Amino acid sequence: MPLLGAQFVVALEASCVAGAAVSRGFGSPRIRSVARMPLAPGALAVSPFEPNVLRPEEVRQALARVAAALGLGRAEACVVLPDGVARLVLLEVPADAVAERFARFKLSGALSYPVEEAVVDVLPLGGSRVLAAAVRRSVVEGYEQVARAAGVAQDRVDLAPLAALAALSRDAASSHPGVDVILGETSVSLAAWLGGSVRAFRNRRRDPSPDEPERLRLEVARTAALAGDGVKPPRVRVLGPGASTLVRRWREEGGDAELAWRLAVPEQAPDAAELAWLGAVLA
Amino acid sequence: MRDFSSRPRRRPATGAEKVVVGLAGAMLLVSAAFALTAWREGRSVHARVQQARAESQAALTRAQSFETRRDAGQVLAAQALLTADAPPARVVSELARLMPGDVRLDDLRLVYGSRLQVEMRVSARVVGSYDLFLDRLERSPSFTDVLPGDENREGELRALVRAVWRGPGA
Repeated sequence: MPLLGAQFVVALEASCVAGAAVSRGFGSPRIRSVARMPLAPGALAVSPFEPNVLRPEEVRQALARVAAALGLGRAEACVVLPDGVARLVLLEVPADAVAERFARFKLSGALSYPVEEAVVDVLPLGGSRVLAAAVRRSVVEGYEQVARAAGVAQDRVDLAPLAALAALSRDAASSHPGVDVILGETSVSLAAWLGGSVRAFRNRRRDPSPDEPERLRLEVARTAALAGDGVKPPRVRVLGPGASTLVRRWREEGGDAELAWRLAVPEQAPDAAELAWLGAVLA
Repeated sequence: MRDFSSRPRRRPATGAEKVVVGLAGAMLLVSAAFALTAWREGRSVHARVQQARAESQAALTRAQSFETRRDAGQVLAAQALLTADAPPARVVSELARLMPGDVRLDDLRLVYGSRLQVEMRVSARVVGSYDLFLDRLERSPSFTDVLPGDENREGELRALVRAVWRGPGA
């Protein structure tokens, strides 16, 4: 039986399917339950061009178990796609333009497939700035089909980096200069905040080599230079799978970083800061 | 809220859109009410026009009926009067008085109406006698509107003559 008043989210990554039930009362959101089912390597491969769900039956089973563990029932859930499926661009929207149309226009020349095949939407990021994202329709359909097959009633589809950034942008701390690092299993996004709006946004695929944490640290430092106001060093918030390890390592090396959000989660659940997709129900 | 569904759900209407839709709906209702009133008025006017037309037609029919009846009554009265005043014997007698000796009355038809129409076929041995008869007929105060008809002047003359009886020695 679904939890009354709860919002559900299910997220898919290359290594697992996860989900959460979050209740929203008068206070801050409360994570009622978190479920996670691992996927065998190769069952789901994140790509912006090709179908991602390579072994649908395995993914369906994992998704169905997550839904059952959350007590989803017939309630609708937000389906969050992993970072790495979308083309992301930070745009300054003219005052007389509709953001979604402007984004489609700007992205039309930046996609390696016809723009007609793209599903485009935007995340407002303060002022006239939006983070525009384009996902290939066939890629989205692959996820939707497996969700439907697993009996998950789809509310909407969100993207992990946008969901995370949407939740982070509501935080008062985002008005201070800083860099948000949103980790995904296959991609990473960096957003530089200054004066309450995102001044720079970067998104790239992750390097599986052991040098990736150091490369990322340097990249964050360069991005932080864009966000700096010259008064104090910009704070760095990290979110997503591996965030705890990365923050600990950077701190050990003398750097200053923090986990992007701290929320109470049920026992056995990973740290909430590891779950970037939670932003879909926190924003 | 952003949505990357391949078939996005319909975006819920904003407050302003709901207000606009509400206003449009209200205007539609008011327009419909006006249209209904106008339609009813139109029907009423049409019905009144039809009624007036029918009444006018009835009045015209009655008037024509009165006219016909009046004419018929007049004709009947005239017929009655003429029959009394101009019996066939009297007309024949008057014609006989006007005819020369060699003119013969072959056929006579008297039509009693508002006036007494006299239609006769005559034969004359010579043309001159016929002409004389016509002359007397035209001059006679008892007849008017003398109208000579077909003539056959081969050998014995045969002719059709029409006239209207005006009254004896009128």
